[in-house]
Amino acid sequence: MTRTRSILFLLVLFGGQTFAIQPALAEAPALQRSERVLLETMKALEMGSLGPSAARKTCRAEVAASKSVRSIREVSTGLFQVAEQDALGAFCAALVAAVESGQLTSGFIEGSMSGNDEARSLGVGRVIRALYYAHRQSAAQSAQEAPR
Amino acid sequence: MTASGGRLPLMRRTPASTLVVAVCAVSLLGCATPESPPTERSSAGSSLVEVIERVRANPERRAQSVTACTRSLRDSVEGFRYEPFMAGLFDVPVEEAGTTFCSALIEAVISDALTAADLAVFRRPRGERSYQPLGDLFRELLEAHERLGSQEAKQTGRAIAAAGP
Repeated sequence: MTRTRSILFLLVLFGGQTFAIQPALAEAPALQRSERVLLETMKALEMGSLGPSAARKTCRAEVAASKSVRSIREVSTGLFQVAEQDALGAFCAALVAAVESGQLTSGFIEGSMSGNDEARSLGVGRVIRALYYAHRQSAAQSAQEAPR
Repeated sequence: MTASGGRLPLMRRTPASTLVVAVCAVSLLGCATPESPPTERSSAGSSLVEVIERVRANPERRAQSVTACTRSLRDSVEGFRYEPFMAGLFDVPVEEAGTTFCSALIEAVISDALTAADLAVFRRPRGERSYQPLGDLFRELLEAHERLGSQEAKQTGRAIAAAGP
């Protein structure tokens, strides 16, 4: 199992079940094509066979093509405090940064995805946290690097 | 189930109890299925919305409100263990998750980061609201938790300085 499962986790998280009040992860859901591609992209990023820029670009395209695009955009707008048109970019940037920096590790993801309800619930909380802080760190770095 | 044993229609939920539903639904455990909705009022005390309204009016009652919030959550969300999700979100041990979530929620309310209007959004029918408030909620909770950590660190520093060498 790799950290790529976390992306599925995330997409399920944001994928329309949020307010549906259903046990969405009671059983492992089938992957959408876009989710599979995104998972492979993150795996390649982790292994170093794909650069962050390409990973962000693929992420954007796959999320935009996914059924979860609306919910991802809306949650990201609030979580990252960005304009709606920038939300998918912020989401993908945070995801790539979190994977690159090891904040989302494959060991953790493996445990959270293959574990019981409690482990998976813990995993969702950690993924949201990792994305939030990855975004904040990136924003702070960008501000520092901006020409004065 | 309500304290009296009845079931709450979805639309009658108060903002805070719906907030809890949203939070636990996010955990994907299906804690509040239509078959087992959360209670509006804790059998042991105040509902979460009452706790929030009370502390908004009386911010000096922070500690009591955190306790009441924790009790309310524990009593009102039947069959759902929200603690693991909160433990992950706040990076704390599971046994501290309820208190940590309530401390952050109360801090966000007292600091007016979460206004009554923010919470009222969760009362709207699903079709009329976006997922954005949920993202807002997570961000505000994380920021509130961080503020509390900073305040605690400052207090500890002052206490050490006051104790002297």
